[in-house]
Amino acid sequence: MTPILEARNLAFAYGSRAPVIHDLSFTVNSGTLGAVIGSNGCGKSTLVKLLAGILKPTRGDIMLDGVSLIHVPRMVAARRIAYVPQAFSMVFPFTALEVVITGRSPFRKPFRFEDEHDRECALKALEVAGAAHLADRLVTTLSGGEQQLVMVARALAQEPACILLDEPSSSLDLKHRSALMRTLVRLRDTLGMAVLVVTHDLHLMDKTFDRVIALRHGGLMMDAAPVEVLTQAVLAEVYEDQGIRTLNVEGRIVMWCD
Amino acid sequence: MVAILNPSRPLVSRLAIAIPLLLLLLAVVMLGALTVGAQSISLKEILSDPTAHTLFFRLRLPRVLMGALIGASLALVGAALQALFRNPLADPFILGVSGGGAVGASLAIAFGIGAVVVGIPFIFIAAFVGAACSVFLVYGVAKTGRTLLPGALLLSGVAVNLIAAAGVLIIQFFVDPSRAHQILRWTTGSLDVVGFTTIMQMSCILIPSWIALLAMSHQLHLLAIDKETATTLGVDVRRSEILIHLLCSLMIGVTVAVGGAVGFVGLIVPHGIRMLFGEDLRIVLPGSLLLGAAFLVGADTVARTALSSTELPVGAITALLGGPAFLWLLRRRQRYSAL
Repeated sequence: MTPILEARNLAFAYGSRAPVIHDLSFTVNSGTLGAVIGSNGCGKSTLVKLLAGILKPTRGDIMLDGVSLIHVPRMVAARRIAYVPQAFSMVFPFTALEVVITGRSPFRKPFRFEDEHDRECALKALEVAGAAHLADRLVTTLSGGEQQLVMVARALAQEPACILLDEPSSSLDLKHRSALMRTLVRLRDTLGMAVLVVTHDLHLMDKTFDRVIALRHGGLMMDAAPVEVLTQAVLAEVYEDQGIRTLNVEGRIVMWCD
Repeated sequence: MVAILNPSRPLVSRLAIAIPLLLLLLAVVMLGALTVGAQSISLKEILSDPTAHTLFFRLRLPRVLMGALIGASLALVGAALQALFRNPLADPFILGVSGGGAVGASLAIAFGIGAVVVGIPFIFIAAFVGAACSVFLVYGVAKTGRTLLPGALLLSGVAVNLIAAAGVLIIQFFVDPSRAHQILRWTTGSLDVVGFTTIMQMSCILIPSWIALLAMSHQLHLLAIDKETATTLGVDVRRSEILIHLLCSLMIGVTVAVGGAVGFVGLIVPHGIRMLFGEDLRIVLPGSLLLGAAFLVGADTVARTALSSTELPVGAITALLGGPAFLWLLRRRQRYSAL
């Protein structure tokens, strides 16, 4: 397991406001499936945007393959890291295939159009994301969950070494949520991809995830295996709610709030 | 509604159909515009009759070329602004960019600055500065944090237009009557031009700007899909935004400085291309360039031939077509989720 991304003493503030992220250090290794959890507004989405290069840290550094992200050419970074946003609005009625094929743009030379290989990659990515049937549909006519699958497919079309997903299952039904989790596990196991998922869906992670990064007020509270993080005591502190309860049912941890 | 040419077809094959078709249309419209008018001119007459020769080379050909240059630029800027602002109702006229250009050009006329700086009339530069100020102002007002509010964008455009119109009126009020008349004539807008000097000056700015903007069509395509994720596909969003703003302001400044504020070309034409060939900006931008040229040349031909006694302002023709098109797009807002 080699580190692909590394956060070093990361800090970030929006403008002159109080820091959203402060003094955060951890690594994202290849062949691992990790989750970022924490209460609303604790900086989870900001953290993945920093790792994706959308936001620039106000202090600290992000290393991609051992090189500071600010020194990595954008196209090189785009071939290594893919990002699926939490929310997006599709304004223009592009087809799903048109959207997914843009995931191939980091591989194209300037002023060249996508070729048959790019098209095949995009169709394959749609298939892997479970959205092959949406290829010719207009994205503006898709449900939130279907749009989310299209964006996952676009990230897969990038053939990245690391994929960052911000609440990818928030609009998905149970079936698609499970299918997406199986896809992420497959990406880790077969391609050795590093997968980092921001999620509130704690039930999904106990068996499948390798590690859980728990944030509290923008700082790192815990970075450990799910079994260590998903305990009543830790979750009560992460979410600042003493009413959180956990129960081990046939090897799965079930959580609820009184 | 899906485009007539299936958008799932590879882009190259769609371009291979669209570009020759639009070039053919442009050639037909330009040839038609060159031959019709208050006086019809045939090729034989151009070669044999000195009056027809002068009429053709001093008036008609420059006017048709002027229409093509302005129409192409307005449509190209409209398509680019729609993608950049992720708003299908964006148009240089609606967003107040043309209005800002008008204030800049009026000030240049008011102060009698007729200088030519390295071959470029100062009025072009003044109109560019005005247009650039407007585009940054409208964008700044409509942007909240990292979000661009589509309604606020259009409303701030309306406000900038009203302020610009008031500004031009005040400038006219304070200057001497001859200059006020000059501003009035100019703000009405006309493609009437004698000779090729102005066309050459315009071309020096417009054609490189076209090339630069077309070269950015891939970035615009990614921005139109989703601005945030465009960064993760290798686009330098901030740099691209600034460059596109400046290029659009430059083109609008020059077209407004010569032809006045011709409205709605930047709205109708890109939508026409989208309906025919799909949403991909790499086809919408070059397609809009060609169709915009054909559209304005055609509209101007109608403007100068519809009435036998006088000419109609070309801006009136484009507004008559563009106004209803705007309302129609607003009515069909379910097609575009940002409206």
